[in-house]
Amino acid sequence: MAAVCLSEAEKLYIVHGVQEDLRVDGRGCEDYRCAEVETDVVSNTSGSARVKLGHTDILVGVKAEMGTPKLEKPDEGYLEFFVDCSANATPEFEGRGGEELGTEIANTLYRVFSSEGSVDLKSLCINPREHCWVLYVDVLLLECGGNLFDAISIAVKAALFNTRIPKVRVLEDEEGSKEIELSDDPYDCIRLNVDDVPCIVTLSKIGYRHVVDATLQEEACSLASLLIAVTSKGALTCMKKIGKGSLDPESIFEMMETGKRVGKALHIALQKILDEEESLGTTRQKVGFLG
Amino acid sequence: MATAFKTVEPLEYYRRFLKENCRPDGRELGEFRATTVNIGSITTADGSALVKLGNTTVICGVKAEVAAPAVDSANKGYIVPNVELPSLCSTRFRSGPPGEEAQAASQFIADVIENSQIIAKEDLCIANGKLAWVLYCDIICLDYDGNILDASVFALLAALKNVQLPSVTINEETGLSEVNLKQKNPLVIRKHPVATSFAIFDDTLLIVDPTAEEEDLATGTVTVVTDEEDRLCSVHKPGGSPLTGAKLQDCITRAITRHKEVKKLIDKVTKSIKPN
Amino acid sequence: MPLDHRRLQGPDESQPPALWAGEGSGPRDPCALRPLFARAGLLSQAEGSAYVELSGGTKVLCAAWGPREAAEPGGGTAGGGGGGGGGRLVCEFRRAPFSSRGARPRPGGAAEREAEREAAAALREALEPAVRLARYPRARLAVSALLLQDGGSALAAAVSAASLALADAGVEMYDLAVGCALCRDPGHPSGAWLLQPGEAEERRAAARLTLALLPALNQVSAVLGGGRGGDPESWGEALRLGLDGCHRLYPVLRQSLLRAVKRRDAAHTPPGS
Repeated sequence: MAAVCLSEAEKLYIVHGVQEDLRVDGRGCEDYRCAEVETDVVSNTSGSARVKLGHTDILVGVKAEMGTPKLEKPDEGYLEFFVDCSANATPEFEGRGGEELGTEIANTLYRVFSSEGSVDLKSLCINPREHCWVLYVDVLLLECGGNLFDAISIAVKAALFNTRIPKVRVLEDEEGSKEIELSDDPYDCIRLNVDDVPCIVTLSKIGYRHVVDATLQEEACSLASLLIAVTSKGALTCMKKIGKGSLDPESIFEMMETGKRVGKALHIALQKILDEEESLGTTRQKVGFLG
Repeated sequence: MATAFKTVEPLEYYRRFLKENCRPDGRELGEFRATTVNIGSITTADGSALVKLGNTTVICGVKAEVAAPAVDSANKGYIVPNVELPSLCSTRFRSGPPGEEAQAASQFIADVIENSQIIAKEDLCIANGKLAWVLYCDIICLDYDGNILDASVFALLAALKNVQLPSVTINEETGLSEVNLKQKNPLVIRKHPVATSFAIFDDTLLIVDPTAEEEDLATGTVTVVTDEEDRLCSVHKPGGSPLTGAKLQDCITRAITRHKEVKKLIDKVTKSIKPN
Repeated sequence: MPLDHRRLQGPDESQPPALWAGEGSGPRDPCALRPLFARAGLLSQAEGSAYVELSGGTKVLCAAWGPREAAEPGGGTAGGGGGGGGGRLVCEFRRAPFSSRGARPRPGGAAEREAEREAAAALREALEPAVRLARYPRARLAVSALLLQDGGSALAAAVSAASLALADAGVEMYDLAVGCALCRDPGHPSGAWLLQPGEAEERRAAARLTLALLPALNQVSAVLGGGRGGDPESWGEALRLGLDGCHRLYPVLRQSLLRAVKRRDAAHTPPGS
C-alpha cells in the first residue's frame, strides 16, 4: 500500500490522540469519514458504483455473462473478482507493482463472498449443469487514501445492487436441444437481492484502542488490524488479521463488538442512499467524475 | 585441523581416505548406507512409500485415476512419474517449477518403467478404447544427501507394491462405469527393478552410493538398473569420465548383489503389512 | 490447458474413481483435543526442521534456514513509515499432489499456485509477530512447508511446524506460534464449534476458523476465518475454544524442541572430546 513517512513525534501525537478518542481530523474512534456513493457511473456495464471515502477512490463495474456452472455446484452461478491497482493511485503501482496488493484484495473478496447466503447464487442459474450467469466484478483503485477494504466492499455492494441482469427464457425444441432467448425489452431484467451482502469493517489497533476507517497516517501507526465482514443483520461472515504485529485476545473480542455495531450502522446508511437513488430513477442528476 | 583441511582442499581430503579404501563416513567403497523403507503411511494416496538411504529421504505417492486411453494404444493405461526436488530438501534447489535435475530424474524414472516393464500397461486397461487406469507416481525428495536415483526407484517400487486399486466395471447397458470401493486388488508387478549408482573419482575409482559431497567431487556418475532375474534393464551414464568395459562389468556385478539385498528388504516390509 | 514442458504429461483429463467416499465420523466431544505428534530436527540439509502429525492424518514437514543475504533490496511494504530496517521472512507452502483425498490437482496449475500463495501469505502473517526480525537487518529468513497428507487443520499444523523449524534453526523468536483450527458443523445440533476438525468435517463445515497464538505472551498472531458463524458472541466462543486449545498444545511443542536439542547435543559430543 502507499507508504507514508511519519516521524516518531507525529506517531506519538496520533497515538495519544486516539487514547483520548480524538483523531487528527476531529473524528471519534468509531466514526467514518464523509463517504460519497454513486451508482450507474459506467454505462456499458451491467452495474457499477463509485465510492469516495475521504481520499480513497474506488470504481467497481459488474458485467454479467453466460457461462457453465462449476462442477461442484451445478445449479448455481458464481462471482469472479478482479482487482486492478491503477498507477493513478500511487507511483508504486506502476507496471506490476500493484499485483501483490491486488491479489490480496481479490482473495479477501473471494473469502468474504464464499460464505453461503451472501449472494443468492441459485437465482443466477439458467439451466442446471449447462448455463448460468457469471458476474465478473472488476474493482479499480483510483486513489489510495487508507482503508481500502471498507471502501471496496461498499462499492461492491452498491454495484451489485445496481446490477441489472437481462431475463432469459429457455426454449426446448422437439429434438431436445435448448435455445436461450433474450427478452426484447431492455428494462426487463432481474435484480440481485443484496440484503445479505456483507460489508467489510477494518479496525486498526493503535496503542490500546482501535479505530475504524483509518487514514494512511493512522495505518502507519498501527501494527495490526482486524478485518471483519458484517452483514446487515449483524452476523460476521469473515475474520482476518492483517499486519506485522499481534493482537491481544481481549482486543479481538472488543473489536468484534465494535465491528458489529459500526457495520450495522454502515449498512443502514448505505441502504438509505441506494434506496434514494433508486427512487429518483432516471431523474437523478449524475455527478460522475467531474463533481 | 581435519575440518580446516576438508574446507580448503576437499578433493585431497577425499583422496587420502580413498587410498586406504574407505570413506570419511566410515564406509567401504562398495558399501551402501543404512536403508529403511516404510510403506502405506499416506492414506490419501492409493499407495505410498518412504525410503531413507542414510540421510537421503524420498517419499513416493501413487494416485490412481481413470481416463480414456490414447487413440493409438486403446488397450494401454498410463503411468506418469514425476520427481520433485522442492526447496526444503536442500539449499541448492529454488522454489518454483522443476529444475534441470528434477526433470532429468523424472525422465530417468520414466525410462526405467518403460525398459523394465515393471507394470504391463495392458494390465491397466479396464475397457478397451473406453476406460483405463492412470497411475500418477509423484516422488518427492524430503532430504537431499546424494544418490537420489536409487532412492527414487526403490520408493517407486515399494509404493507400487502397496497400491490397491478398486475394481471398476463398465455396465454394458448404460455405458457408465461402476466402482466398487470395497473390493480392492493389488497391482500386478511383473518385474522388480533396482537401481545402483556409482560415482567415478579421478577416472578410475568407483564408489557406490555417493553422498551429496561425494557427488560434487566426483568426475562422473553411472547408474545400473537390474531386475530379479539378474538381467540388465538399463545403464544410465550421463557424460563424465570414460569407463572401461571391465569396470562397467564390476558395476553390474555389484548391482546384482545389491538387488538381492533390496528385494529381501521389500519382501520383509510387504509381509509385515497385513492384507486388509 | 497450456503444456507444462518441465513435467511428464499423462492424459489431458482424468477423474478419480469415486468422488468422496465420505465416512461420517460419529458425534465427538467438541472440546476434545486430539493428540499431536511433533518432532524437530530431522532433516540433515536444512538448518532447522520439524514434522507435525495430527491424529486426523494431517502430516506437515517444514524446513527453515537462518539469515541469508536478502535477494532483492527489500523495502517495507505495508505503510510502515520507514520500515525495511528489519529482516524479511519468506514463506513457502506446497501441497504434495497425493495429499488430498479427491482428485489429484495438477502441480504447476494456476489454481494450485494461487492457493499455495495464499497459504504462504497466511503462514507469514502468523509467523511474523513471533520472530525478532529487528535482529536480522537486511537479511532473509526462509521457511518452506510441505503438506504430505491433508486430514483437516492443515494450515494450523503448518504454523506449528514452521515455528518449531525456525526455533530449531536457532532464529531468535519471542515465542513459538501455535496453530489451531476450528469449524462449525451445520449438522451439529447446537451449532457448536469443533476443535481440530478432520477432513470430512472441514469440507462440510458452515464456518471455519484458524488461529495462531503466542502462548507465553498471550498474543494472537493470526486469525483467519470465514463462513456463516453467526454473531460476534459465537465467534468469540470459537476464539476462546481455539485459544484454550493452543495453550494445551504448547507444552507438546516445547517438549519436542527440548528433545531435539538434547539429541543434537548427544550427537555432537563424540567420545573423548
